[in-house]
Amino acid sequence: MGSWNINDQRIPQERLALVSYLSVGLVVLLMVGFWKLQVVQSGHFLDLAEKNRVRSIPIIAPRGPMLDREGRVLVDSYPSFSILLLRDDPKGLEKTLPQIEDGLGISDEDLRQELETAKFEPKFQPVVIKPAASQADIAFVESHRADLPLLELLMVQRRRYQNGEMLANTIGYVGEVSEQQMDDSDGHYRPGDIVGKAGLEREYNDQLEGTDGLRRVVVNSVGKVMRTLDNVEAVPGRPIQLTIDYDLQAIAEADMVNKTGAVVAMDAHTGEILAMVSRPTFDPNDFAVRIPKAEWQKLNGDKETPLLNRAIQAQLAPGSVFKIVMAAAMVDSKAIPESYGVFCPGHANFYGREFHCWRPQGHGEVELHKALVDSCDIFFYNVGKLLGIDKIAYYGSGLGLGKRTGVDLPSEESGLMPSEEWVQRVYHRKWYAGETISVAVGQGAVTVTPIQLARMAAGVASGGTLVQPHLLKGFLNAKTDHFPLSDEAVEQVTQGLFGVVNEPGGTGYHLRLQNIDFCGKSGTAQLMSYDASNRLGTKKMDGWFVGFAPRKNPDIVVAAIVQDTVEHGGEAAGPVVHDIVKMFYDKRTSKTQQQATTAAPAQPGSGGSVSSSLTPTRANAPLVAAVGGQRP
Amino acid sequence: MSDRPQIKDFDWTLLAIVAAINLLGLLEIYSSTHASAMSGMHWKQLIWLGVGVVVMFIMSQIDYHTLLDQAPILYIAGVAGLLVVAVIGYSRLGAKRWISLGGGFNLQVSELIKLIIIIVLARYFSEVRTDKLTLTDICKVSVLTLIPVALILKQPDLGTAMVLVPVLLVGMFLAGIEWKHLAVGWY
Repeated sequence: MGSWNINDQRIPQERLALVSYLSVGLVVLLMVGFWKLQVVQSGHFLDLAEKNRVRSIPIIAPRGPMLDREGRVLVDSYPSFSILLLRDDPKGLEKTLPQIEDGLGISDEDLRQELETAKFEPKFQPVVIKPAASQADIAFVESHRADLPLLELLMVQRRRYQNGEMLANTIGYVGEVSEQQMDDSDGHYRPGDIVGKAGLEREYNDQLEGTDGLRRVVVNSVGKVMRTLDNVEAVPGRPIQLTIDYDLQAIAEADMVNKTGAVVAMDAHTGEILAMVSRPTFDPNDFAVRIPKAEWQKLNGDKETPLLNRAIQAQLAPGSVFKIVMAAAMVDSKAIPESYGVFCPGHANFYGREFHCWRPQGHGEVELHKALVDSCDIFFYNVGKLLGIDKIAYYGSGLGLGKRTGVDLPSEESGLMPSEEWVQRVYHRKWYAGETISVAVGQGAVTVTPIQLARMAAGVASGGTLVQPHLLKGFLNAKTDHFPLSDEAVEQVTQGLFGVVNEPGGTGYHLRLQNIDFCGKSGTAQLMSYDASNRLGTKKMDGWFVGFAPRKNPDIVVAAIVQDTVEHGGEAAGPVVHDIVKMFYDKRTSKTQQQATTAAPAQPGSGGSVSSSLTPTRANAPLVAAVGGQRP
Repeated sequence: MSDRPQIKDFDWTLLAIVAAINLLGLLEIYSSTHASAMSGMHWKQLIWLGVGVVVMFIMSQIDYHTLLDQAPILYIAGVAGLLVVAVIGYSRLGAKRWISLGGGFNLQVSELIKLIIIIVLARYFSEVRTDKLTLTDICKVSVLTLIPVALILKQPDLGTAMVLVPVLLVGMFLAGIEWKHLAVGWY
């Protein structure tokens, strides 16, 4: 080594010694600490680890219930048990798997799959191996506490949709939180947490969701709880009250059984949704426990799309219901004199193409009122030609067509109100004048959602006040759009719509209601071209009816669509609207009668307290039974 | 190469101490990762220990003066490496410390810097011909050390950065820093 150390000799020996002693001192200090932990106190720590294991047991908070506008429970939660498998002892786990599989009736494959999925979770986090334990399962766990300490019962809260399919597309459903949601939540969600996945469950998840509690207990080596360390109670989710009226909803559901389509009933003054139906539908209870994969694929892959909320997501041709917009545009814009009339021979030629009226023999001499009552297509083809697409689009968009209504539900669709600007932007071409003719009767490129049509009809009858539809009672900051229409336009249009239901020959004459100013407009949208349907000899149509009452400043507006029908809108969808409007006024009458009988004798001068709660009338009972609903 | 060290020249006591410390570390890793998501990590540690022993043997065959000769180049390469980390390094657990070498290997430059600083300081102090360090010397070595310290602090990695400070202090102490300078630095 000799020659390398010339410079090393320069190091002052006393300093080198000092540094050496300092290093040795530090190492000795570390060794002493190590000795104390591993040798002197080892018995104490072993004791802590083996005899007194601390287990954290989550206390699941129930989600808040959903009530209808009269406080009747639509959705609530109920406690049930899940069976957990603890994984902190892998060797013990492997040995007891066959016994667990046997006792709980779980296949080896499924159980190993569960464990494989949870492989990268911390070992102290148990896996749920049976989400909805039966009485027998619970008994099995309880009686095998000693030899199967790895099993644990966890009380969970499950969603109960009292009426099954009723209102299902609107309420939505819950499910286990997705990985995406977990990442976005900044640690708020843990694997296995239940969150709203669709509909109101998703929209109002923050209110509905409670805060889970946590109980920390000390268990001995066979899993027996020795004592509780601390206990943080769960905070239940808050209830939400909906604007839905159970009675109206029930009758709407009953009318739509085995049909395809949608219904929206709305308080025309406030925008409160009274009933909302979408068919076909599903049972959200299937989602409350873990939904089997096969069931989910069936629902998701079904070409009838039961998970779609047609009331807000189906974008359909409005058919003749669009004539409400055309009539309002014609009178309000003053582009065409009110006395304007045409002769309808059943067909007419525009821009070299033959267009048909729905009534092959024609309507004869027609002016605006008759054109609305009889729904004459030839009249409105002419009006459309005279107005032009941009004026039509101005009124259509102004009355909320082709735009989201802002209803408090996720994934609302917008539909489409075509215009010259739109065709230029999307297709980079000029608008063909011939396309205006189709749009004039609600065919061609124009598409709307049922909720848009309800809002539009209420808006026209209220002189252009367009409310924001909503489902939460006490919805704050509901936005009202104003698209003022002249008194003359409102008068002319609503008189026409009154005639539809109340004048003999009107397309909705069979729907009239005694003592109620019931107005409406039918619509029938062709799903096939005129020639194709003639060739095939069948007519598949979408039948619309949009109705409201009373004629001016209506209380209620209902839009209904029955799809894939052979009937016209007045026959297919009209009765649904009729029944809902009738029920609305029946309830109102019985309410005032009840108030008169209860309040009048006691306090004749008080004017009747409005708060007296209404119990469902006896007459409603059979209807409820008819949809198989379980009265809360 | 007759002065290359032979097996008999090894400092067996020192080797035994190093082996003991490594054995303890191995046991600690086994015990703390047992039955957790990280279980089996002690095998990884063992493999790298083996690699370390091989590298140790190779290094023992190299005259360390060769290393000292390379000190300026090593230093420049190390600081450049730290700058590269700052620009294209990738972040994990909120700190930007690694350069990806592909194939799942990541290089933490600040680990190499620890060795480089020791070599650089040793070289510098060996060239000081007197028993005392002048104030200029102190300033020079401080700047040499504080540049990588600053770069590592930016990653941020306080732990590694702080390891370099005692290296500097002990180096200066052995190289003959005056007590009064040490006292000034203390305050």
